[in-house]
Amino acid sequence: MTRSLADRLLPVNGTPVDRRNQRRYVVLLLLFGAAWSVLRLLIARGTIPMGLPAAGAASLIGGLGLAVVWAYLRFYHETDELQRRIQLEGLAYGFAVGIIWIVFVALLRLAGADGPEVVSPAMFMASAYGIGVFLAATRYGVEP
Amino acid sequence: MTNRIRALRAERQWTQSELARRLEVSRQTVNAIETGRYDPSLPLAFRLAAVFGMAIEEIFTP
Repeated sequence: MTRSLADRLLPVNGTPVDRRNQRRYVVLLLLFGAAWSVLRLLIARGTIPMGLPAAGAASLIGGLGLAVVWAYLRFYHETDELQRRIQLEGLAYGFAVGIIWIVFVALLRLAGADGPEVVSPAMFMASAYGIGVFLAATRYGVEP
Repeated sequence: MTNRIRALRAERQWTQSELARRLEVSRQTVNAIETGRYDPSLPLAFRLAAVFGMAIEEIFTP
């Protein structure tokens, strides 16, 4: 069976609806990450003046972030029950580990350490979510 | 819980993908149910029973 261009560019599992929803989510997430990085750079370099212009640009990025959430929720609601369970376990793992990490880092800072600051809570939670999805998928015998 | 899905599917010469399409789930979900790694919800169990034209208790054994 020949694979579509979208399947070759971004191979994902699941029903055709799942694949469409996952691609939309991943593309929006990549756009969000790229836009966030570029805006951060532009603000840091002073290309975009601080104050209202920078806040306006940041709001646009926030809107893109909401689009990512919408795309993820659509994927979550339209996927089948096993994929939903795997996602839920991944989110639970990411949230729980992320909270522990934030509290742990707060204690370390109180103690005078500053090493863990290099890993932001957001990146840590996202990584923990990915590990959680991998563990859940492995448990149910699904290739992640 | 054990089930006879693999045998019933083989009798009909359906692939996992074919059964998944009929159930409107992913092939991975059919595989997870067949291998006993995942117990389906009651609605999905009813859909399985309807697809095979059998009662739920003829497919699943506690």
